Amino acid sequence: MRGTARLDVGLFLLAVFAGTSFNAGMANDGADGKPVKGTWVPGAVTVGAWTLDPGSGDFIWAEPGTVASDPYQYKYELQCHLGGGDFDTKCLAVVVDCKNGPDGKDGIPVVWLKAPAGVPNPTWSFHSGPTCLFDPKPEDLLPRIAAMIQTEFQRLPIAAGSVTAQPSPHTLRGAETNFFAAAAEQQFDITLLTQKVHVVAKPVQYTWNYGDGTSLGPQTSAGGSLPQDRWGEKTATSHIYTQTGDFPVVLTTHFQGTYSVNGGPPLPIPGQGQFSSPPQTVSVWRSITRNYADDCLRNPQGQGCPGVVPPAP
Amino acid sequence: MTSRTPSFVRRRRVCAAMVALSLFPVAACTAGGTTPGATAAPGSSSPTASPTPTATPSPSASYKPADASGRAENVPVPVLPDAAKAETKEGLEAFARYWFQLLSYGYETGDASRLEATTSSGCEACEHAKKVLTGWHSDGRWLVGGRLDTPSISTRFRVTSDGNYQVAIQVSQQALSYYNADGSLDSADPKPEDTGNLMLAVFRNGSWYVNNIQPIAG
Repeated sequence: MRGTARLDVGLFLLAVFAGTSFNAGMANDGADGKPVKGTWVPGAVTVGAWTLDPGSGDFIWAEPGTVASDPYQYKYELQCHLGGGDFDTKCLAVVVDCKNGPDGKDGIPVVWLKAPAGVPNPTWSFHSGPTCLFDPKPEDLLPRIAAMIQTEFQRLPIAAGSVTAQPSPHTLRGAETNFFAAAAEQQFDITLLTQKVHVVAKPVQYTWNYGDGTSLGPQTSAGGSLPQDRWGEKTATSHIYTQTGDFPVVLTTHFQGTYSVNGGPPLPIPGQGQFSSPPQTVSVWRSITRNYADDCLRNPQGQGCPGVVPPAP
Repeated sequence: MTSRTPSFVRRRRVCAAMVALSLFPVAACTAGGTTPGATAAPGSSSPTASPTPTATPSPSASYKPADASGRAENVPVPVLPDAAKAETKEGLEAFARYWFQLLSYGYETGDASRLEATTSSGCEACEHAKKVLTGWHSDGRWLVGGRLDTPSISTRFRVTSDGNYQVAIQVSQQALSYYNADGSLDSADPKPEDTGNLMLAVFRNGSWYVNNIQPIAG
């Protein structure tokens, strides 16, 4: 979809230049009549960004919502580390106290560093710390946790969220039934390789299985509630049942997560976790409209009049 | 980097370029009394009227960064390295480094003419930066800081499906302060986080040209 995105950028610029005289646009663009401000930013990740495609080695354009919201990568260095197996003992004496870890063993203080993700051989800058890691081999602790985190993520008791149908529990065949999800960010504290790992799971996409063999998604809209006088309108998540019956509706919510180790920076969990709600039954009924010229006094045998047996469908 | 041109010549070239592009009121070139009496004729972007610079620059030509008391003086113009004139991996990386030197020079001087010559107006981020640096160097305003460095530049030197070469660039910028014409500090941006930039470039008519610069997200 790169073509579309670039076209949009082009149109936007065209609009800017068409709308303001060029000289005025250059000099006074701010709301207060002063020129616009800002340090160099290559663009907002929220309107899309380039990601490294491991297959080709090229960068490919990713639409918003499909890229991690945090365009940084993180690592740690052992504080006071002199290289090899040597540590500056004087430095260690005054740094953060990492005694008595979860196993009763001493830990090692680390400093977290950050750099833009995707740029080869970046220069790292300080992010946070020092904080403690408790592991006999802290050097490769993070890769080992990273290797486990995806599986652990999918194992967490994350709630997919609740499903609401409008109208419900009964809806009509051939009419738009509006569905919406309410899923919340959830936080968990787990222990991995004796480290305290804090996981934050954020709902990012939704897949609806309407129970009649059709589905919608995954897509980013959770849908929304309609006021009762607008029930039956088409929405981003509404569905038309063509058959009557009871249908089990299942919402699958896709979560993106971050994890932080012993109070370190939140690191992105590479894959999404998918969690499904318990099925919710929607009963689809049919409605038949018949028009009559007479009322029940003039024609007491008319359908719908008291005591009249309805015809077979 | 030592300047090879006497300062007054360079200033005239800068002003000439800006007038020629009509991006500035002409007054911007004389603001602050830094321009010598000679008027720059529009279009005269080469120092034709000056003798060949052979003498060492006078003491007044020494570089002074911008500060709270005023704008930068005698800022050395980034020089396009010979390596950056070749359609090679090294050439593209050298050009990318040069391009951000030009941007840095722009924040320091308000001169975006060289950037414009090598950059598509379809680069939204570049257009925005240009507005910031030209706007805040006009009508007596000036910028302090904002220097850009490129700690990491790399390209696979392969033309991708959209016809561009891709260069991944880590950009680091210093804090940026905005000064009003009356000398007061308008506001200041703290040092931003380093950014991951993807430069999309083509080699045409014997030189590199930037089609776009967009963010890298990982």
